[in-house]
Amino acid sequence: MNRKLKIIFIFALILRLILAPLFYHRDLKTQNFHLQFLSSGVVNIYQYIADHKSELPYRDTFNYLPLTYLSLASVQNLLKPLLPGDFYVWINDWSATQDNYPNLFYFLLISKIPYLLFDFGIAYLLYKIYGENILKIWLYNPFSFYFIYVLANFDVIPVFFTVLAYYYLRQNKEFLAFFSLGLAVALKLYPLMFFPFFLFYYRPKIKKIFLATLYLLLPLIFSIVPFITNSAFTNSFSGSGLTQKIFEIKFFHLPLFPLVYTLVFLKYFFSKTKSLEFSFLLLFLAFIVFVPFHSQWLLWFLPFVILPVIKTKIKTITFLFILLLSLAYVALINDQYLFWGHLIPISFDFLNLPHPVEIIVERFHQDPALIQQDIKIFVAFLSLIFIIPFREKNNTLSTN
Amino acid sequence: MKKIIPYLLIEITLLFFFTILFPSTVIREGIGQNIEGGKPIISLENNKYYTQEISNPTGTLNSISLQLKNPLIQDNSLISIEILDTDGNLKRDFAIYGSNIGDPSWIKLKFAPLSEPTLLVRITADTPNDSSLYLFADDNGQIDLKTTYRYQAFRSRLIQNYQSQIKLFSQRSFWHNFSYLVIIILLNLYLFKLVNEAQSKK
Repeated sequence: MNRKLKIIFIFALILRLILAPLFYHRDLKTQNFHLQFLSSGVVNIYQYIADHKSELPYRDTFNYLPLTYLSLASVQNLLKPLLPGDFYVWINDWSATQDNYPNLFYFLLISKIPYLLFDFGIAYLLYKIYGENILKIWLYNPFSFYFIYVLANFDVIPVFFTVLAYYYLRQNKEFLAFFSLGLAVALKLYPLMFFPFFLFYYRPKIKKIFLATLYLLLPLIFSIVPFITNSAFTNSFSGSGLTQKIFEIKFFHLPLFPLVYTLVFLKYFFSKTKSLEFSFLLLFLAFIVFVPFHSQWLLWFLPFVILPVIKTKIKTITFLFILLLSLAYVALINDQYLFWGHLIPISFDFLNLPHPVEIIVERFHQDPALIQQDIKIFVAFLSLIFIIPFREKNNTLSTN
Repeated sequence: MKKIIPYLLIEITLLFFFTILFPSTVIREGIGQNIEGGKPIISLENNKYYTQEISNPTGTLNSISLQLKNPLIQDNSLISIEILDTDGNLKRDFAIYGSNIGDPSWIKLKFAPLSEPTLLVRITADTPNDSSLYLFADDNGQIDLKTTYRYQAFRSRLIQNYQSQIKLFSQRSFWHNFSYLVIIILLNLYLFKLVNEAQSKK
């Protein structure tokens, strides 16, 4: 690694070490609460929660796949020596003062260390695929920081494996590519959405399609087979929101996101020069417009869409504006922990500030749900800039 | 040496912005008493007083919140909430109708800051018959109550935030603080070395 790259990575690391522990999201605590049970020998977390629900201080189900539980819980065990002594008191404290711990700063910092590794892994892969500019954009943009360290969900891990899969795919290493994608799927199901695009990146024969599907499904099958007949597992997992949300927005009973997805895939399939990045950008825009998304879901697309959005200045500015509108959409979800609550490691007084929904309703007498709809319509309008083939001037940012 | 300064400036600026400047700008009131966890066990009877003491150590109390329950939002009785000093002098008073009370909800009442160190909140329902409104309290009759107090001017808030961040830091685990600072310093020294090497190569 050359000196310039080292400077980029070291400075990004310092900024993350300074800022990551200042932001909190409750998902990090709920996940760590569930993950602690592996060290007591609990392998089937779904059944354990169903059996002990009445005794647990936090009673929600674990809505993620078994590989997520087993891998993240193992990481929690590895990090145990680094964690402050009261970490386990904190994750089991669901009282009114549940986050009132001076060591919250270190709980957050140490819990986010795995995310840091995967974040840098993505950065390095982006460097290998696209070059230095995209690496810098990835490491120094506030949006990826927000998705990874503020929302602090584990989505960055499957995102890393999807980028790794693309890296291998470009090198014609199909087993590694589809196995990496399979690992991502075994952690969170969303990368299944990317599979057809990866599969038809080259024109495969039937045998290759079969093998690629097998490589993809291997990690998922191995990790869920022991649980598949367990009703607690199926009940917990059916509570996951993505599949429901994808079909939620309809037009004449026709779910719009699947429809756009099919059109984007057909365009990709039949085009001679396949641009996975551009197709994912279209999916990303459709996702914002046609899916009532959770903010961390936007991270799934982010590493892939940087390339097509930095082609011209106007596209870059429009894309930044779309991202800001998406965050405004999230800010209109009436949950203090998705807004001021992120800042409680700095001061609990943030919780006392009025939520944007409160201000909009009480001061401006507007319906936040209608504003959210308007945001989606406006994003749809802005998206046209990426769809209509305007004549473009020279690129403002090269990839190298 | 000069080359490292922009990096250090960015680090210090970000830290200062997030931990001191931004909170001082947006937070104008602090959380005071925070009593919750009670149940809707006090049924408000006609013209009966329910009282609770409020401590006001900062002398800038500017809001109180009470948790009430109006099952199915059926009762529209008038409720009076008064704040009195220890001599019984009325300081602030509010009147709300049952229709404004949820099933359940916290009712926040904001007012110009009060300076008395101890105050009393007095609640009464004014209805022809006993109301079906409930006040949240614990088994000892302690009413669920939240208070806020107003912070001073911006400059004082800056100082106060700086002091509270230092206090928070000192409350954290010593070894974690020590290791954290050592790591940040070592990384900056390494960055300094890298930046200097880059400069001398040129």
